[in-house]
Amino acid sequence: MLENKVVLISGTSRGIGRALVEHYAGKECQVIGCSRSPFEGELRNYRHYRLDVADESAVKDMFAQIRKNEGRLDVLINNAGVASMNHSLLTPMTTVSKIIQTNFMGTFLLCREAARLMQARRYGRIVNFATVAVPLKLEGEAIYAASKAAVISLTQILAREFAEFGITVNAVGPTPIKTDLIRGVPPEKLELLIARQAIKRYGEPRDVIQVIDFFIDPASDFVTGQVIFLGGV
Amino acid sequence: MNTPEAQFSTIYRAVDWINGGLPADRQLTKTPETRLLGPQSVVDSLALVNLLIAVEREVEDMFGISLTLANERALSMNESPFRTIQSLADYVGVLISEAQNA
Repeated sequence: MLENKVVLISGTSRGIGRALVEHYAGKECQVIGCSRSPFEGELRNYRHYRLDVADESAVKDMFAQIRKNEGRLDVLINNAGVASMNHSLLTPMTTVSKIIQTNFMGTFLLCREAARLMQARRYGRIVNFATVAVPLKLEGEAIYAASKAAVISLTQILAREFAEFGITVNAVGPTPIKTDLIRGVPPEKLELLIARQAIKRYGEPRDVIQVIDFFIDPASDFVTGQVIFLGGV
Repeated sequence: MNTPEAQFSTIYRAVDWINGGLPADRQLTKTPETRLLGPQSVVDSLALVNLLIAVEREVEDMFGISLTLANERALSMNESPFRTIQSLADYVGVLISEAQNA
């Protein structure tokens, strides 16, 4: 069903983003990725752009290239994100700015440019990344959770604004997954978090992929504005 | 060439695309006087958004220039450049000229 779909994924140099690239390239999609770091190794059906998702000029250039090369975009997966665990009283504004820029502004920018491209064919699937830190109201993650709460609001409102264009917008809210994103979080904090899940284990990339597969299925054309949190949160 | 003919041609292609998704009683006519804003316009705000995005796409195809029509400049002008197809064409012409001379 996804064969030959043009799929853009942000934050693909490592972690979940890389797993998503391998998954969709393996399904014969034409996958395009971006991240600040290079993509190590080569993969058939994959093209990489090195950019910051909050850099409007670089992002617009990437979309112009996609339009020129592929002529369309079917799926956008807004995976790029940064986290910083710290008490709010100890959080510098540079950290706040970086998190908001990457997690919220970057997500908005890619959604906007993707929808412009998708609008031409009146078809598109957009999946954003939330987090269980929002419903769990995790101490120490005020800014990260706030940036993702903004992504949830964005998802739900864009779902309404883009519905007329045949574009669905949904979000997946992963639990902690053993990637670089949580590398700096003390293990005891993560264990406490996992204890609050209905299913008490770390997430795996396959858990996230399962939800995204559902959201981007062409048959999921009546599913929009939804947020699925993993682990029973 | 950034001529009035080319500007209208670009906009009319976008109008054709928009009309493809509009009911018969809300079709936009391809004349410079066609109203895009206000009570005399047949398009609602969402159709206008669709039109502007389609015009941006056609400009990119025809002139190889990536424009953002609904920018802060457009929103701060005394008279909206999106009033009619004529005013939209004039505005598109100015933006293309500026981009070509940048």
